[in-house]
Amino acid sequence: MSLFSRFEANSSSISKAALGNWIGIAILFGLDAYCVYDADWEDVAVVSVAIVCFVTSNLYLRRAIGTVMKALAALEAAAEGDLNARVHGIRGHGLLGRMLHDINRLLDNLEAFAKEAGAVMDYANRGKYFRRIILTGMNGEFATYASRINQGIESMGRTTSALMATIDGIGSGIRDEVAQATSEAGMVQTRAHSMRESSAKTEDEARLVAGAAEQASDAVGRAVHAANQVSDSMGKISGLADRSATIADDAASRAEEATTVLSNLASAAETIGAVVELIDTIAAQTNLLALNATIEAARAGDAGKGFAVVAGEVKNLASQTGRATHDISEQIGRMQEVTRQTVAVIGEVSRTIGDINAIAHTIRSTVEEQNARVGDIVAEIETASGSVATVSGAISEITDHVSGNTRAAAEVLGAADSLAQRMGIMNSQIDTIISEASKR
Amino acid sequence: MVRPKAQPTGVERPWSEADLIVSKTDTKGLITYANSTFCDVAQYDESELVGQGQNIVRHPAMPRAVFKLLWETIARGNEMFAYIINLAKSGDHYWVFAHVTPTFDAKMRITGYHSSRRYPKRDGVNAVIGLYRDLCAIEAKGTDPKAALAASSVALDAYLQSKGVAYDEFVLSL
Repeated sequence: MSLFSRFEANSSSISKAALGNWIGIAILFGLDAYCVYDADWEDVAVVSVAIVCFVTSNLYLRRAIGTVMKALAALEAAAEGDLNARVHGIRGHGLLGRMLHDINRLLDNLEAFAKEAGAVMDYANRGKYFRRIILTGMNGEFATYASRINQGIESMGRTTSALMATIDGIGSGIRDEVAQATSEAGMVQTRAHSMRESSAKTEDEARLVAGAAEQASDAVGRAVHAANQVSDSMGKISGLADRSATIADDAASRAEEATTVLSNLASAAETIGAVVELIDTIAAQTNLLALNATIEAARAGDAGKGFAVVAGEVKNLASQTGRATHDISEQIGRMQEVTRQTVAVIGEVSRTIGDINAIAHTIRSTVEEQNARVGDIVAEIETASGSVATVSGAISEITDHVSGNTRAAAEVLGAADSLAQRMGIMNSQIDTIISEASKR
Repeated sequence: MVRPKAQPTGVERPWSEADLIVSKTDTKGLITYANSTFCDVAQYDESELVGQGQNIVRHPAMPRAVFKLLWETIARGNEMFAYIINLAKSGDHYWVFAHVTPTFDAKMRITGYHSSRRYPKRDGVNAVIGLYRDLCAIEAKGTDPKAALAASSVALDAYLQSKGVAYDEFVLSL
């Protein structure tokens, strides 16, 4: 790059000075040429010295421009954010040299500050707050801003540890609560389990009871039927007992009649006996008369012989009569004996019939009582039947409720399971939150 | 080209707490920039430093294990703080608190390293002198320099573990 091109691009003071220098050199050369033409050698010497001075100053000016260009390159890079830029190979310790050193110092300070600030922020990002900007070597506002960053970091550290303590506190509080809730969910699970089991058992038992109630209902129906049959049988028995009593009564009156007939017979026999005794007496008197006649006939001799035969015949008849009456007497005696025995037997029969009658009456009254009882039983059975129906209804309602309970228990169990699961998730999330927070 | 170094004189060169000693190196550790404070304190001209390795100012009292840790740290893209004793041209020494950082290009590739040294806290210097002496003693032992360096690094790790902090936190706490 020539000085002129830089001059065209940007008309700076240095460029103007350089241009002025070149113009001066050109004028001096012109002046020198005129003096040579004039052969004014004294003037030629003076102008030549001036030319040397001008050229020398021009060289220094170029060097100064080079220095400025170096500074410019570093500053432009730094202005673009390249804090790594520096001015290298600084020569001399004049104004420009000091300027270049100061540019480097500025960039050194700036880079140190930026790197320190960045590093401190990196540490803070990782949750570490012990890293501070080292203030040694930081001057003026670098130190001021560095201190302010340090204060910020310190306060962040304090806030974070306070926050951490709070989070820890809250976290452990929540963890305790979750643990409590988890154990309660566990208890709910256990209870729902046992509830479901007992519900299922109750349901089974209610079903059994319902079955039993149905069976009882059937049995009651059959019992009513049987009782009715018993009642019918009782009625029949009662009828039969009535008929038995009637027959017995009839038999009793017949027996009485027989007794009367027999006592008539006995008195007739006695009358016959008396007649027989009279006959016997007559036969004895007849025999005596026949004996007397025989004696009288014998006294009458032959004339009495015929008569004696008749008397003998009469005597035979009398003896035969006597024998006959004797037989009759014996017959009557036997007959009387038989009659007595018959009366006794009839009496016994009568008593027996009376017993039978009494029994028949007892049977009838008993049957009537039983019938009444059977009626009562039937009534009670019907009441029982009603109760059984009520029980059946109640049981089916209970079964419904229990089924509802079983379902509810299953739902509670499901809810408790899911609650326990959620508690587990929540617990691990809280652990994660706390451990994440602890990393800060 | 590398001149034989002057023997340490044990004389400490003073420098100003208000100044920064700044140098930049390329990725190989060759100096590309040295500021005027560096030149003044180390007693070199800029032209004598540029193109040289950073070890031109290496002092024998500086353990290799610390530089190993330093290079490993900055090569990973991290910053590194270290108390370092440096040797000036005359054999005098000066302590610095160095902050070494990688310089990245737009694609976040490391293009070089930047070391900004501050005037160190005397307490920090006193704290590391003993450690550095111990590490140097370990490194001076034996005939195998690699094994000695490894042993020294182990000792440095053990020392940091006994303090219960990472190196950066340890250095900044001094």
